[in-house]
Amino acid sequence: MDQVYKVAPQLLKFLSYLLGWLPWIGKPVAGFLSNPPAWFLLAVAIAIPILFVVSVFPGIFAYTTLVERKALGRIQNRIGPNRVGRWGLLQPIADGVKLLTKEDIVPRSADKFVHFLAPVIAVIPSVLLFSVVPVGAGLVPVDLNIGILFAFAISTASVLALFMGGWASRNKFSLLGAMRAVAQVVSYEVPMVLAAVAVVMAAGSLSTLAIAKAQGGGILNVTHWFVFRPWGFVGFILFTIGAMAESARTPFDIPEAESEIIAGYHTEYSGFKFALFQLGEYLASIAMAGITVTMFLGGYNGPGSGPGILGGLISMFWFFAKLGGMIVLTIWIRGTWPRVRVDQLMSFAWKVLLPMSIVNIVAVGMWHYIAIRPIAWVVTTLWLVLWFITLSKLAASENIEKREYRYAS
Amino acid sequence: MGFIGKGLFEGMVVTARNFVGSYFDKERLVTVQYPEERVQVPENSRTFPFLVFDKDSDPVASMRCVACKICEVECPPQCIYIVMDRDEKGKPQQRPKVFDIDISVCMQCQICVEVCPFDAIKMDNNYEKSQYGRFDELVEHLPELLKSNEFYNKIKPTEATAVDAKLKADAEKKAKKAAPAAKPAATAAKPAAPAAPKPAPVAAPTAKIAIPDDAPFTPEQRQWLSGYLSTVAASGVAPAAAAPVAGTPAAPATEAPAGNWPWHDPGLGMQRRLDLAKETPIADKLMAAMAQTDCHACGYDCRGYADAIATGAETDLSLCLPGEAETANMLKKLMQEAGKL
Amino acid sequence: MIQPLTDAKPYTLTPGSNGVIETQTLEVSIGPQHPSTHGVFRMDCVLDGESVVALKPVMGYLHRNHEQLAERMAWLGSMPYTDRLDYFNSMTNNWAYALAVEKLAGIKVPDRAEYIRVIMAELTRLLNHSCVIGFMLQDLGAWGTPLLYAFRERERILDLYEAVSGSRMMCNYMRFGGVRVNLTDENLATAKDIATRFPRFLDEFEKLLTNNEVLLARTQRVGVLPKELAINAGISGPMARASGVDYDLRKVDKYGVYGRLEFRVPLGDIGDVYDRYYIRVLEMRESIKILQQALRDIPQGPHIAPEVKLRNFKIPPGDGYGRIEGPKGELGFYLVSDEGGKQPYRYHVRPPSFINLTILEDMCVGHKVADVVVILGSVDIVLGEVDR
Repeated sequence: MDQVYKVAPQLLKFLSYLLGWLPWIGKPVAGFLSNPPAWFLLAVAIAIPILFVVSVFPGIFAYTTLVERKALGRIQNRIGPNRVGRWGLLQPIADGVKLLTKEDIVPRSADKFVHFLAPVIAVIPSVLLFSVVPVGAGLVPVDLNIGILFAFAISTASVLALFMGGWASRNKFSLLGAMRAVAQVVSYEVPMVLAAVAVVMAAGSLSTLAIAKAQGGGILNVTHWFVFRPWGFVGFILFTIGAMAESARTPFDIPEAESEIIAGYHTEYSGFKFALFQLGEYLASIAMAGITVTMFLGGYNGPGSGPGILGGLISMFWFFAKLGGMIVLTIWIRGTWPRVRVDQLMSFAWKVLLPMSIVNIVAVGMWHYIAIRPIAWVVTTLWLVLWFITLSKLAASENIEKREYRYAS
Repeated sequence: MGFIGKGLFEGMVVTARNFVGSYFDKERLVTVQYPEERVQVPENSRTFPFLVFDKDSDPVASMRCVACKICEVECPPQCIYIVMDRDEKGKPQQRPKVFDIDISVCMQCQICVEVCPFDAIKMDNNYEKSQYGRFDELVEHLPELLKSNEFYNKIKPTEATAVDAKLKADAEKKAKKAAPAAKPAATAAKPAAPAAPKPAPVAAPTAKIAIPDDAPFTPEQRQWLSGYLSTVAASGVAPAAAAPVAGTPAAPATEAPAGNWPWHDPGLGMQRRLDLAKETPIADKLMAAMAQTDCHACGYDCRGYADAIATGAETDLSLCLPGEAETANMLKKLMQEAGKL
Repeated sequence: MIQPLTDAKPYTLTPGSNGVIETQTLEVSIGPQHPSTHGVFRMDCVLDGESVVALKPVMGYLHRNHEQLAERMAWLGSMPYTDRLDYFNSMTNNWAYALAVEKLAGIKVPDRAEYIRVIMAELTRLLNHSCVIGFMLQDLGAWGTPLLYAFRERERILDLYEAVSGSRMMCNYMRFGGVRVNLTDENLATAKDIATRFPRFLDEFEKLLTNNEVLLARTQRVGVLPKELAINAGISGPMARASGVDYDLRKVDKYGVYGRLEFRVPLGDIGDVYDRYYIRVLEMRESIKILQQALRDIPQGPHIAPEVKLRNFKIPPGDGYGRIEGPKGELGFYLVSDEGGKQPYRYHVRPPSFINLTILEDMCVGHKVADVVVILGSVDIVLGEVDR
């Protein structure tokens, strides 16, 4: 917003040139725009990021569904959608039209008001999440100094909508799904926040912009990304798992496990209400991927990124490229792994992820206090690997055993 | 034993390989984009049955089906409905008037094809039979069912060639049998049987020949003559003799292929056949009551079934499918008359 | 009106006298319209939270009067209906029925026909087992990837079926005393091609699944079926063998030409879902061995006994039970012929998936609701056969 505020007068001046030739209203509008009052500048500075978020990210959502369907199809040796437009490029529009024109069904015994409210509420936190995601060098809708905290607070709010939807439907499957959603989101919040703590400690700030800035520099703007530190790598994995669980992506799509509880909390939703749930869920997933990129993958930093118009455009390119990479990773995982069970999900969060993230915080401390880098590398790596092996052996001993099979004589 | 998560990563390698492979490897991307692309269906492929006819000029007359109703009885889901064609006098015409197959019931099992003794019904391989309705639209009637032998040869070359060869061999055998049969028939010296064979009357290409009403015959004679000439024309065998005098059981059995049975002629009416067999033993009378199609629906030919009933080997009198209730009732009556029931 | 399994308890959140909060169980009807009941099958589950405390399988939604229908038509007439019992494995169903009739009528089957039957049965086993694993993974939430790989391979086998019998799934291929159509050299070459290619697919399949930690965690020690219970309940097929019961009719009865072929019977020890999965993988490997031997040894000769009549086929009075080792277990037909012998007086099917389903509750109670669908998937049912 601050950046927009700075360039807003130039933008408006440019607009005034464009509009100046218009008859009747041309002159006064151009005069107003070339010398705008302060409140108007502020309003423009607020409106532009909002417009950006509201137009770009739902577009990304729409084409994420297409890419997901195409990629899943190819993974499964199918072709995927290719009937609407070339390569199925108009498929999201066709889906949207279909969902808009579908009958909106409300169960007779549902709590009608809450049933209506839930999908609307489901979208709001997901959109709000984008307000702290820096999409380019200095380009963040709101540079909150507690950006990370804000993101976690908002993302947890989405569970409210899920529970409202599940409860108001008055369907046993919906209720089971809603309960699962609450349990899952609440318990995965903890390791996620702790994994973020490591980054916050290293960057020394809660602001997302500052965290992204801290990863700049080095060779080609790449080597200082946090993911190329031992603790950052572990943190990246922990945070990605947490983010996938939080946004209910496979293998953690337990709240809407199709084969078990049909569609979970949105079993009783159809038409555009269903689409809103999907939108909220995908937007949350994309936003969490954006925060992951910001915290671990260097944010907008990449070869050529920097201040100025060109550097800003390049930085935006890098951000969206990394975002796309994260989305592809989740799709790839979705095409490969089966779903975990509810109790395993919980025990995984509390017995593996939580201790590991605490270990990771200790590792950041070591990294900070050991001044000689090579030694810091060795020590933190050893520390983390040791704990990883211990914890995974512990987890495996509960669930996994090696089997031998015999043949009848 | 690797680290934990190794199996997960191996799985991801497999899916990645399939993802890439689906772009380059035809083995992996097996999708056929119907309706733009189609798979060549194998020759054996089957969907719904159709009826074969031989001559394009007159499909109805040249169809192989004789309405023997074997398929109607054997069809497991009972989706075939047949009504035999009869002329205005109620005489069976050896072809179906109605032949319906309800393809919403048909389960494409091919049993009708296997049991048909005349190679008249075969399996199509057209799988695009969707309709906009569920009821009448899904019942196929005779006109839709009739397909030419050329069509059959086109969709199933191997099978059709074998069938054609078999039919041809059968026809030749029949013709050969018929020729010597003329002699014993003549020497048998049936009363008033003219021994000298006359040239065949000019047979119209159609199977059905009707003697004009103004011809100098009694109605009974006319009926007999029409039927006789029709069968002669249909079988394509030149008659060794034509009996101009009717009313006497003097019909020469010249074209009877397997024996000296003047009543073995499906073109005759029931009453006429029984008249012909009036002076004969019970087995022949029983035979005369049958439909004379030799369709094997009962498990015998007409002779065999009559013999089996006469000797008591077969007790079921309702096995003659083409004869319908008429034959069954007559068989019962005859057996009662003979005191065997 | 369906009787609930448990009485509804009053719902109170006030702590009881001993300080414990009283909770309510939740009765969930999983099915008949549910994505993972493999058809129209219903499980009445009583849940305590996510755990199953009681479960009642409810069958009969797909009842089609199979047995009574067969008693009303000629012996041959019910052959195409057996295709529709277990619509995945029409070849083995045909074989079981043909075997029962042949036993009853005393028909000798030519050697070539026996080999053709073995080839078809083992191909059926391959396609059934690979698809069952795919379905089970679908229930586990793998979004269809393993299932579609299995279907990709199944396609080749179905193409062979179509080329041979004329239909992909409803083959109606076996006849009393042999098979309907002889195998051409071209068909045999296709079958050989499938037999050589399938191991490669299996390797890939195993790489995707066998060591996958999520799969291991989800399936091991889930739905354990003890050996004693498996024997007492009459469980057969891969399910019994996963529990360690050494019972394979191909070894026990040596029907067909299985006595001449060499293969092993894999056995599990624990009898959980993972064992059932892996036993199927091992069985597929054995099936490939059988296929290769049968394709190597197949003799020339007639494909059907010439003395068997197609129509008016009659069987002298008597009764007989013919059974084979179907992909799902022991598939048997019990037939009684009476006076006249034109149609069965009694026709009874012993369906493996129905009998394997009877112990569903014993396997499910105590597990989570997510496990129930996986256990059901590992039983390998086809509702056409369960409800008949």
